[in-house]
Amino acid sequence: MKTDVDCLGRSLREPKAFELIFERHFGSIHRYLQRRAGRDLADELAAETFALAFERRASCRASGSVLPWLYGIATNLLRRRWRAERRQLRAYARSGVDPWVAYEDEAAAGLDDAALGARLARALAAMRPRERDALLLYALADLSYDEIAFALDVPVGTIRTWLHRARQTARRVLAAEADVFPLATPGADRYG
Amino acid sequence: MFSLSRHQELIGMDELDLFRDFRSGVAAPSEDAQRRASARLGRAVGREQTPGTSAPRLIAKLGGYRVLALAALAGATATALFVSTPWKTSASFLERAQAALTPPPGMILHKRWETTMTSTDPACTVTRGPSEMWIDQKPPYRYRLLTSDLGGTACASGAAAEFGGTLDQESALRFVPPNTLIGWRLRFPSLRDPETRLREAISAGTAHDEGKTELDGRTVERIRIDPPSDCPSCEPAYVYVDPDTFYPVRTESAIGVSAQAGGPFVVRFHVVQKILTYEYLPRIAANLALTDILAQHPNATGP
Repeated sequence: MKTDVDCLGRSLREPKAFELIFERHFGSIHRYLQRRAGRDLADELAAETFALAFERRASCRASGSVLPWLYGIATNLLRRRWRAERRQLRAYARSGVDPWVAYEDEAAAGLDDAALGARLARALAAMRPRERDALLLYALADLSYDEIAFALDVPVGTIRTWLHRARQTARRVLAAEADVFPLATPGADRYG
Repeated sequence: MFSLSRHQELIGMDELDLFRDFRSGVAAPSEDAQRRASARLGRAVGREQTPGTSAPRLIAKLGGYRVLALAALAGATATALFVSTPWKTSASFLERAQAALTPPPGMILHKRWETTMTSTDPACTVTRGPSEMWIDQKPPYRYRLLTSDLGGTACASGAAAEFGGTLDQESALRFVPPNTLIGWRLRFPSLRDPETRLREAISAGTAHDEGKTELDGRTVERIRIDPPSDCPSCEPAYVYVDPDTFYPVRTESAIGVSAQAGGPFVVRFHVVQKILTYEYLPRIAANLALTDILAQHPNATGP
């Protein structure tokens, strides 16, 4: 089986070879985008991600899977729409209704705790865009710190800083409303 | 409110890991989304495999619009108050448009649209469609058209009809239910050579990029097309395109209808065409069949 890097290299001579990259990773990229921007925008941005990746494939420096690189492109595309994402997050925080889950999926999907979902959305909305990007690449895409750094093209130390800040923001927002439930603190066990 | 079981689960968890829950509820991409994305990538791949080709497809939209208008106003001579060819603005816009609209070799254009025509005298607004067509981009450019407006008048939609043929011939086939094909005279002149039309339009220099705007909740690029200089009563037309693909989203224009060629306009319409689908499909057997009226009605009797 050809590795991603093999396919990428071959696609420089035979462009059609890039289609294997699409087949392998379209689902992952689409799900990541869908979670952040909704299904309609995910349809558009996922397609754009692969079209852009194809155009830029000669500059890809991936040595293994190209998935982190693709996540980076998708994240950069999302940045143009961050206002829409923040608006959705705020709506989620207010209503507790997940705006990204399609109606037909509601019965089987979504967070199992609406209040938690709303709080997480509020925390995400309170983060700086870069910190949110790093956090969601970690939490949604399962990337390691090194892979996030590669995806966002910044030093890994910067990623650690961003995630540290994201953690602080999450802790602050979640704890601020946890008067009945101090999250992950010694006092929490009184409810357990 | 957190449930106790959920609460217990969360104790001691890294805050960042809580956000993994956001993955739940995300469905797999639809087949349609995957197909569209694949087609878009296929176009990019095709362009690289066949460098040097160029052909805009926005003209195809305008051509489709005109065909619909002509079909809707059968019996009268419809004259566009603007000419759809002018197509130019800043160099950067042209470069981007040309790059984005370079035709994918060996693809099939699929377009679905709806047209709303508003007339002041007689006063009426009629929404026609949706209509749909498929055009093979290889000679002889076989097409199939589904219109809902055959024999329509100024203030009334016509009947549904299906046509098929090739763009190099004026004669077409029309399917008549339940199972007959008959000869019909139908032309798609504006689709014959869209590359030439665009080259002429660019050199005319009368299209202007007016920048991004919001339309039905999405960001689009608005383009103004000047009316012909020899038509003082004509109005500019507006084309809204997807800022990334340059595919048409909507057009706004005016047309006039005269009782005879070259005569005064007896009816004027404001026309809004909403493009519901504009895409290129891979040239596989299943999609080719969509362009072929004979393949759609293999047992029909006819000429």
